Amino acid sequence: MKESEHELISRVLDGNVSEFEAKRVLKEFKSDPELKAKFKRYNLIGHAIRKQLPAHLSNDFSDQVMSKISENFSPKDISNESKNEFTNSNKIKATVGLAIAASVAIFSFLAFQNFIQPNVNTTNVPVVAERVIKDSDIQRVSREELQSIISDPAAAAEFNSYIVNHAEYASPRVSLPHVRIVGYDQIQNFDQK
Amino acid sequence: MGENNNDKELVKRAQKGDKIAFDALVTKYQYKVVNLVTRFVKDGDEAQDVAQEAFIKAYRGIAKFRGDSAFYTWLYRIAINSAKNYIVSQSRKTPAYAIDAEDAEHMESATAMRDLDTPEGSMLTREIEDTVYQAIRDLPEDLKTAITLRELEGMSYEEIANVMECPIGTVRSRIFRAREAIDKHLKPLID
Repeated sequence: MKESEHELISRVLDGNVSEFEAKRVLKEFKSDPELKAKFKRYNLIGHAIRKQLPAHLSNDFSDQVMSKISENFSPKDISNESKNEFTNSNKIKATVGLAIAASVAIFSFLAFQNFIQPNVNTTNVPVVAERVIKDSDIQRVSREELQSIISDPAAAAEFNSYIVNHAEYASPRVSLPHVRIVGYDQIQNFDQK
Repeated sequence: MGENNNDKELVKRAQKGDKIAFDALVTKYQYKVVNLVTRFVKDGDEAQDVAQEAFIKAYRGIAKFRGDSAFYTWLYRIAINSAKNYIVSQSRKTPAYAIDAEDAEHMESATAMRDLDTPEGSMLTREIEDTVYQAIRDLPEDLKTAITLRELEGMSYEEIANVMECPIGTVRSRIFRAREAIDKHLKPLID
């Protein structure tokens, strides 16, 4: 073992190593027991300087721990656990990502549907009907005729049925009387003409 | 000591199932954990057993350690819980004082530990300390300063380089040479 590698052990103890260097030293630990013993003594020196040594010093404490670990665990147990942690974390990320993507897709679909087929029933502002009424469709009546139509019970019943029918199908937001008043105005206007 | 990221590489490798890396972590923190457990479990042998159990639990759960805190802070909580569980299982009275896990890295008071020392246990500990301190006294001034700033003040290599006005490479070398010089005195005592 070269002196530079001994210096590396000193740096491992202080955490002043790269991933590559740590890997290299740990590999040396496997093959060189003296290197590991030196690591232990360097550690002991630090605790002695700080007066942090316990009353009961066990030179083989770590060996006993690792022996028990070897009896109960295989390296795969921990690496699998680590993979599971990673996998679980990835699963959560994927699920959240999928949920967001689905939400965006549904929102886009609804927005597109609304764009190509706007729903007049949900409009907040009054709209003017695009249907153009032809002159020939309008039955012109005089004020006297209108009065007689309204006073006619059959006509009044039919008129009421229109109102009821309209009320059943119209959106609650639509102001029914207003629509009908507009109709009357038109008739009155025609009448005035 | 500021060790928040110091164990990063060892922890990463241990999480991949590298037992040698975990062994290095056990070696590094065995004294701290034993000292901590000894505050709860006064019998030395039982304290060793509880400390070992804490490390085994740590190994079992290391994949779940996310590195949000220092490795030792995480290990500290496991050790405290292991000690408390032991006390409950033994139906003993819990200590009158509580220890906050957040103070983990500041709980290095050696004075409290001394009260629990047995005479025979103290002998070897004292011998090691005397040997180490004698070796430090014999060190050249630059090595003595470097190792003291590192081990006693807990400074990083960068901080030591600033204090000593030298490159980081020189700091690495001085700390290593200091350890090597002390180790020459310590090795015969341990072996």
